[in-house]
Amino acid sequence: MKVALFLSVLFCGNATAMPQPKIESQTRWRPMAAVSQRTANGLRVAVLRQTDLPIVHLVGLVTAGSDCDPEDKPGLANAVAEMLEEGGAASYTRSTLTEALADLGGDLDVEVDQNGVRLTLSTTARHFDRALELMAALMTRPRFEGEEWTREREALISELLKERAEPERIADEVFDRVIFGDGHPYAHSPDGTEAGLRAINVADLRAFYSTHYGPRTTTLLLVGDAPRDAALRVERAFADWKSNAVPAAPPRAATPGAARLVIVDRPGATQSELRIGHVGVASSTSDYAALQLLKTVLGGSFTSRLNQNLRERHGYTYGAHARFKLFRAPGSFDASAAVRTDVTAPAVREILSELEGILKGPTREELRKGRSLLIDQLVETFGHGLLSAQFLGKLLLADLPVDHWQKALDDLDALDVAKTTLSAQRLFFPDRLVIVVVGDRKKIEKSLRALPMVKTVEFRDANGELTR
Amino acid sequence: MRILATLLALGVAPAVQPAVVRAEPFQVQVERYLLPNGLVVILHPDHRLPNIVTELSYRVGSRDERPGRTGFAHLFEHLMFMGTEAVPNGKFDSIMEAEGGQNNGATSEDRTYYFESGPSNLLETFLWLEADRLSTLPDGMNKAKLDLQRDVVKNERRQSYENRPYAKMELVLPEKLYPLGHPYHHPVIGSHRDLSAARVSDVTAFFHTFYVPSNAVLIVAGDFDTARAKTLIEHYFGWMKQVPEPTHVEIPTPPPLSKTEIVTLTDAVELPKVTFAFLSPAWFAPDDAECELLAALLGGGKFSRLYQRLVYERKIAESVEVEQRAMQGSGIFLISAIARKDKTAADLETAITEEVERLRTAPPTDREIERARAFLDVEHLREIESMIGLTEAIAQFDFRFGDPSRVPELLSRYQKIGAPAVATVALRVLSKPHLIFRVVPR
Repeated sequence: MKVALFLSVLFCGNATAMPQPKIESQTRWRPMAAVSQRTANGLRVAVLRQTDLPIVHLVGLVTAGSDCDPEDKPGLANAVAEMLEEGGAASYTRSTLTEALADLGGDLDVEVDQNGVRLTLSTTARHFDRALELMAALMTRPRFEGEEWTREREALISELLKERAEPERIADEVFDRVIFGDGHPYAHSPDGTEAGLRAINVADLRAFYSTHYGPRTTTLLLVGDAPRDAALRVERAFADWKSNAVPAAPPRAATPGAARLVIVDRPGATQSELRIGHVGVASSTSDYAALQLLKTVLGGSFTSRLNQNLRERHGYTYGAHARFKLFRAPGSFDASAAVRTDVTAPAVREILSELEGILKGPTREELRKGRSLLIDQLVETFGHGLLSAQFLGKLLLADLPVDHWQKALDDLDALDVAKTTLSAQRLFFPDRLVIVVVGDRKKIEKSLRALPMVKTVEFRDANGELTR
Repeated sequence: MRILATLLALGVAPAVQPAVVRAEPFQVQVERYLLPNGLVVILHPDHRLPNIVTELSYRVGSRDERPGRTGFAHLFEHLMFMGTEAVPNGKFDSIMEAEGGQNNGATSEDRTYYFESGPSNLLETFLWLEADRLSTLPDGMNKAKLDLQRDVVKNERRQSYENRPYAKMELVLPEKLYPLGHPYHHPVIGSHRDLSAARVSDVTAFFHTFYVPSNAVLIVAGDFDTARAKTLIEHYFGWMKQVPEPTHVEIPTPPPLSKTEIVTLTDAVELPKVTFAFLSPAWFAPDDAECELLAALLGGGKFSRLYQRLVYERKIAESVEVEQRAMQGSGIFLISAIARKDKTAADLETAITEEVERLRTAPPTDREIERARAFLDVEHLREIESMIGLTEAIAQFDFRFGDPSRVPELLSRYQKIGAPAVATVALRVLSKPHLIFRVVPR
């Protein structure tokens, strides 16, 4: 019965394959420019209006990121940013402030990285003025209530414990610690450590705030259905804010360390989480366009070299990726994948061979593909309010101009295989690779040690501390 | 890529004029028509940016799987990318990526969808690629392709469930909540054993049953000329023969649980987690909107009841999450909390039970409902802010109502619901026997 049914259905599919259609050329698109200006007290306001849906995103950007953390208090920048809402502001207690925000439809979304702080408040258009008022209150007049800090500190420590169970995070954090080296501001996670958080008191929060928060370190970015005179309204809401805070200088560049293999034991793990890379370049790099292109070719799309090799050719993983983190000082480059435990060593070998290969640059087809994909991703980003807010916010905190992508698109046009290959040689250093593997040590150590390129092996725990 | 998603409810209540007309009207302009072979076509032009999205949505999901073949609908989704005679393996992606296009697919209990997104000059290419695999996929299918994607899917299972903290519960939840034989009894990702058992003949049979024009919806959104799009759609899809729409399994209302059951799972985590799981209404079934409001009121944001009580006042939780997860034929209402350092699963259970009880003694107020609405407004607007998100919402509304113009009801359906209705539904849903999952450190 099954066979008969099977045969009969085969006949009704009888399709004639259609020829591939011709693809016409696409008209050139320029990203819309955000309008940017400074108010009298030095605050920068950037506006990108899109009015198709009644939603607006207010984003406060402050150059007060984890690169400003004191060495003995990792997590301070994040604690200060969290406490803007969690510690009350102006006439609001923590409780009345969260209530006021809830009336607008949600909470403040707080993100802190090595470049700075992003505070995002998304609300419906009719609540714009109220949202702006609350944003101004918590950014310019935070209270840093002591009792609230005692509570929030414990909450942040619990969050650290929760995240310590996530193999992706362990791999990312151990990788950063190893490549930047203890003591460098980029070596620790912006979330800090339990000891660091315990060392922070309210006076530290206040001091950090007054050093790093002020109109001259802040941008207010508005994306979506904002009123036409939004910039003026921002100026009014922040007019009384006075501060001597100026943007901190970027950290020194990290000294590249020696190549090595780092194993973090996770007994029973069915997959090994891999990070393979080294210290990268600063956001101001003149290779910006080539870097984006090479990242796309190597591990930034489905047909990228890493994904084709590890997923489609070998079936080792659900996905393999490449990434550059661009900070004001040199950041990082890494290739990543979560691979089945029993193929950990072969997967590492394949990644290393792709990293050797990328030094020879892209093919002409890859160059063309990378360029098309980057342009389309940009178009899609600008079609999506929250995504464009995040994208522009990150650019601005990386100290790049508001029209950065206009220039990057021109640079992308000007790239050819030879130029991109030269950039590749400035961006990738296969002799300096740090290989971090989070997985079941007793099942992977022997085969990893046997890889010819592995000379030094060290073991660390989930916090990045050296172990035996 | 090739993500596995549980499609959450995008909902609508019966079309009743809202009692209060509020300030955020928006419209979704769509044209919907049917090809003679049964393919539903929906066009949504939007010329602000020079890009387009195409989506093919098939009425098939894990509910349609045979015993011993769990995970097959999703595995099949992966195979849809493995090439045909005209577009050999790898070309589907490389043709479109060469010009800046990207694609993905997702499988849920009820539906499987595939979308492409890219510059507007790729419209014809996207239609050609989708039509090609819809008409010729089995011709090039073989065991090697099946084996490779079987490996990829097993890796997806490891990455998304087995090796991810707290995620193993998702594999057990459907089996505990829906009886053996119920279409929702197994998780979409399936079991390793069943994935290993899948054969090429299964692929072919599944294709010929479910991947037919009468079981599909094609959506085109973005920067295109309507007349030209219609001509192209006719050219690429119009010739396909009409095959009767497959019969879809009935989703019986699951029987209530006979008693509340505690399920303990161990995991490589440091903090315990507790999840209460209740059977709840299906997509846009009566009470679904009330459940969404209830979820927002209990766990939507820092001023919600559970966050206030468990995180701020008692300081026993690191975080709380409440979700009305509505599928086509049934729903699951989930309340979960992760413990703070040194707090136990029992601490969380007691507190959650008390808060659920408190809905009786201190029913929701109008103010709380107003806040829950504001929360859901922002949530839903964020979902449809991207062209892909909006296209998916159009697909879901068509799936449920055959009327994609009703997308704005995502927001408007909450306007006419008052506090008493939410209180009533809360008691109805949360007073029944349920599951309590405890995830504890190894």
